[in-house]
Amino acid sequence: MSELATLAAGDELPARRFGPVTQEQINAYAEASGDMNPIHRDPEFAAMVGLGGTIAHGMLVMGLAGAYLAELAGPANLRQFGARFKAMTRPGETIVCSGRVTEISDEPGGRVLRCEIRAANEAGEIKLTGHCVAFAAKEER
Amino acid sequence: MLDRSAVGATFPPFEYRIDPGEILAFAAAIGDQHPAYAAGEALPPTMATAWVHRGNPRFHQHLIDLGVNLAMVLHGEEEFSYLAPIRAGDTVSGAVTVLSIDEKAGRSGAMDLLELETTYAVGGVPSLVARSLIVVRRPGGGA
Repeated sequence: MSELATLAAGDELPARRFGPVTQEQINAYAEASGDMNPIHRDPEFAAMVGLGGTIAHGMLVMGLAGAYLAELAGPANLRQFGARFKAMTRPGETIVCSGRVTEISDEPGGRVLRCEIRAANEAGEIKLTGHCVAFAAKEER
Repeated sequence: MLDRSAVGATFPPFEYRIDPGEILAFAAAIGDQHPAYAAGEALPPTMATAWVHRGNPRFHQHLIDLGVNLAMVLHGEEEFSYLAPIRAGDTVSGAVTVLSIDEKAGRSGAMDLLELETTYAVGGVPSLVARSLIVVRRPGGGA
């Protein structure tokens, strides 16, 4: 059963902490995603192009938010998932995902929830804001 | 400046078979432990990003042809719409369309904005749409 089944519009989603993001994780994500851009892996190159050091892939941080939603809703129940990248993430930062239900509509067999989501570091710097649409099956009685 | 005449153009489609091992490596790199991935029932929500890089060998050349300096690229937005199930072993056909090209004044100079939409079909059925906003910093500016 989805954890979303019992929430109401306006309810906060339970927050979840990920990380800290490490350079090793960024390297593993580069390999697994195929995004080998040196700004994520090579500190000297990243400094040369004005970034002051390596940064995590935005899609890695969105991937953490995706893991957050997969656990809450079940990955097969997601209908839409969008993110806007607000700040760069550096190795060593811990990412806290949170969110809120904004709208619920009924549908045969269950209901559809719209949520806004956030990913921030522990100091509260927002890395990503996003939204999702997820189906939650009705609880068996 | 990017080549605005490309707006509306669709690049030649690419095909990619989704390998079960790649799904697990992708989920492991993120730390997404959902059991549906190993069971072959679902994909990590952001999995399609790997198909761009691993499945579309011409993707970077397309960007270069539009005038993008790859070293200056940042990701602005990404949105996935999940239309139908995609599973391990499926072959997706991806078609990238240039939705818009724009520029904006950032805190540290002008930036180019490139909006792409990729539709992934399985057996001819559109199953996932990925919309990406790519930000291209101009040399001399900051992030």
